Amino acid sequence: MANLKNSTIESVNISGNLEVLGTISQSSPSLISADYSSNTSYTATGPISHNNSYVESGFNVENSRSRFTVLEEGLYYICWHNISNSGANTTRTRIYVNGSNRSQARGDASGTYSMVTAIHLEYLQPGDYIEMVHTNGTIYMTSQYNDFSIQRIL
Amino acid sequence: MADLQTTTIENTDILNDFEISDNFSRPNLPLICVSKDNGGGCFSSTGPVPFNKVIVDNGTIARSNNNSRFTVPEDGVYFVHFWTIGHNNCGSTGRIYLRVNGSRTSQARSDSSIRYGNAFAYRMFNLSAGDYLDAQLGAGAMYFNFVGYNRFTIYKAL
Repeated sequence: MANLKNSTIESVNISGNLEVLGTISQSSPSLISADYSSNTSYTATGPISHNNSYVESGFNVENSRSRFTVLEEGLYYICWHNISNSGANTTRTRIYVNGSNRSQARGDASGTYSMVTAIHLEYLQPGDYIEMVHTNGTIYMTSQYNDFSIQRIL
Repeated sequence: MADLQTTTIENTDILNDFEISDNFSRPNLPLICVSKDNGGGCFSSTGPVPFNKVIVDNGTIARSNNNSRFTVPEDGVYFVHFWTIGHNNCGSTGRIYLRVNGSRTSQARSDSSIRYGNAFAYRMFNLSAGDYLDAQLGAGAMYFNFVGYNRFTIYKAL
């Protein structure tokens, strides 16, 4: 059995199975977890600027943390949840990729604590960008009520 | 290019691509998925939810306090998901908090006016070995009617 210790390898191609018993670390993982707080009746339309960041690595973060540009090719898992506030209009928040709607969360205008969610999975290239866009209605936007997360899973 | 059949690797950096043509397993990846089965109806006991159904548990994340507290074994970024269903018969709006070491973070709410209103929260956390997570019912009630109506999931994202 061969043993490698304290080595540097350029590239690895494993033709069979691989079982890792310890931990795996990446020097530049692609992870974002953020939210927006302070406005309980959020009506501004457009990309949401997240003012709290819990995990932030591996993206080019732009426009007051409203645009997250991918640096590495891969499969990305994107999820969002929020609470829509009671109001005249149904809330709509959308996961955008490169400015186009991919997944939409809608909240019932009659509910005070109507929770909504949107989840999306997409292969992305370096330079592709992700936004969480509010288009309609009123969101109950305290820190605990919304989270926007992106993870490169492959 | 060197061909290696069965190899033990220790403290080795891979600078570029890493490709596996068959299966990839990480039996020790910290993860757990549990549920609360209330045996019907609403659950209204405030405090950390004592989960009584295991969906997935590979033994890496320690369960304690009647399966209400989950302690992570190593440093890293953890993705935490909670989802459940509320019910208008449960009375006031239910509030579930994702907590880290007892501090409230993200919150899932069920609207008391909705018959089957869903409530959920997802967030990533930078945690250290020994930090613990729970899902605290802070107020109201949730419809933990059976095992299929809720999930509390933790896994190490990195």
